Amino acid sequence: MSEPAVPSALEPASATETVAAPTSAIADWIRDLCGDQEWLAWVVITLIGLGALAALASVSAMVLVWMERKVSAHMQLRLGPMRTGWHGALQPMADGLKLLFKEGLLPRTTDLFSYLLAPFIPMATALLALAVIPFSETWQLADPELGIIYVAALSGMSVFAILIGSWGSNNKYSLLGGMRAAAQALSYEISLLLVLMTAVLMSGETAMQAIVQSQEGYFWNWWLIRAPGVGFIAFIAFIISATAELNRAPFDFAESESELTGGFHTEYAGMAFAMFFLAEYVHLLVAACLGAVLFLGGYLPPVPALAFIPGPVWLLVKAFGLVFLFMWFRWTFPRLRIDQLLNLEWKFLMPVALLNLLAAGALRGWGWL
Amino acid sequence: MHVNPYAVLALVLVLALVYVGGALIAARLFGERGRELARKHQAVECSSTPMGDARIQFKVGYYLFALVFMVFDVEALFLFPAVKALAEGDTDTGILMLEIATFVAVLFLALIYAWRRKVLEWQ
Repeated sequence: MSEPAVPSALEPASATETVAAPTSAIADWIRDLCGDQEWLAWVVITLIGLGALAALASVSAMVLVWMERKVSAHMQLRLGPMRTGWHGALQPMADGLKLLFKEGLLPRTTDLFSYLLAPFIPMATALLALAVIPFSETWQLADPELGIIYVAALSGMSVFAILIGSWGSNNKYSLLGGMRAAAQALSYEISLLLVLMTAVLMSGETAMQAIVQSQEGYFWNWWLIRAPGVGFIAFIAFIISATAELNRAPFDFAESESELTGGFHTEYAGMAFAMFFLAEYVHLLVAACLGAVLFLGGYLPPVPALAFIPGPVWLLVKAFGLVFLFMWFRWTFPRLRIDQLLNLEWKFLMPVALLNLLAAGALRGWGWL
Repeated sequence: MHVNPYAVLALVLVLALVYVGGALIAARLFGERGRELARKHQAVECSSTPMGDARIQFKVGYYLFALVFMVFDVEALFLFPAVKALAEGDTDTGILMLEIATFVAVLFLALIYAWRRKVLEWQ
């Protein structure tokens, strides 16, 4: 951020190279300290990065839990948590402590291996996806060449957690929730993948950093606006499929609490449940960040004059805006019926996303982008 | 120094395992131990004794959707090379667009077939 004011828009984006570790003032300082031992500098920087990733995931999940409760409360003319800390800001912390001291129940009827394996998966996919989100030109833990495909693969993994957990629980509610979640996640996976392809077509890039760089300049260069119509349709399709992939209302069939007690996590108590719960919110952050990166210019400011505000702030502002949108949906739309959900995907969203992809291809191919 | 980004991502996977494993072990250490009751270890079924096994036969509808999904998921991935080629702009756009459109049209036939055979109806 303390770089001299070189017009970076004129420079070719160097993001397609494989960058080992983020380069920034701190990273350069560590490299100086380590001198010749480049590997040592790499190890230190990577460890700091991993720590920052875990901290970001935990803190943002707590903030999101608090935000969810406050937003839903205020939408229903309630106050929500008010007692622990300022406007209940410490409530998620208190909840976490309570879950830590809870008795971890282990039902005898479960399939132990799959029952214990399931809580690991959602957190792993969430952290793995968060690791490729670029927070600024230099703050990115890893930037694989096929970033988009990588993220799509991870979003496909999350259904395994629900299926394995619900099968391992050997509970009727869990299994029903798991089956529904599988049908839903599988279906919306397709439109999500098609939307990601559209993003690749619009920007011509597959690495996350390069996609953000392709939206350099004013906010009308963001893909939401720049690709006439196509970007907007892709954005709407992205929001709908992301809501479904996250199992959030109005698509919360996996744990429709009024029908299935807790859905797939009925049998989980204490910390194991907390891991599902935490991962759900990290996934929410990842989806919002992804939407911001693909369509809203990621860490880039809306006008270059605002570039003095650092990139991570811009990304988080955009991401939290999208998170608010997801929370707003939850209290606006009632839960769909499962046939409505599947019809929406197969008979509307998927064909629209496919035609939109073709339109984006025509725009890009004949040079109108 | 250039390191494969996937090596870093493998470390992230280890981090995730440590994170969740650590939390579960901590809960095991600090968690309360109540009285041993056989009821505690039953599967939840609204406070009554569970009847039979949960792993029963499931609607075939779920399986059909999984099948249709396979077709379209693989399709979306197969579109990826064409999309990448189009984005890079080295190939003749007209031919490439024609190829993509043909591929998509064939898959739309599959969707129409599934639609007509009422696979997409939830009964």
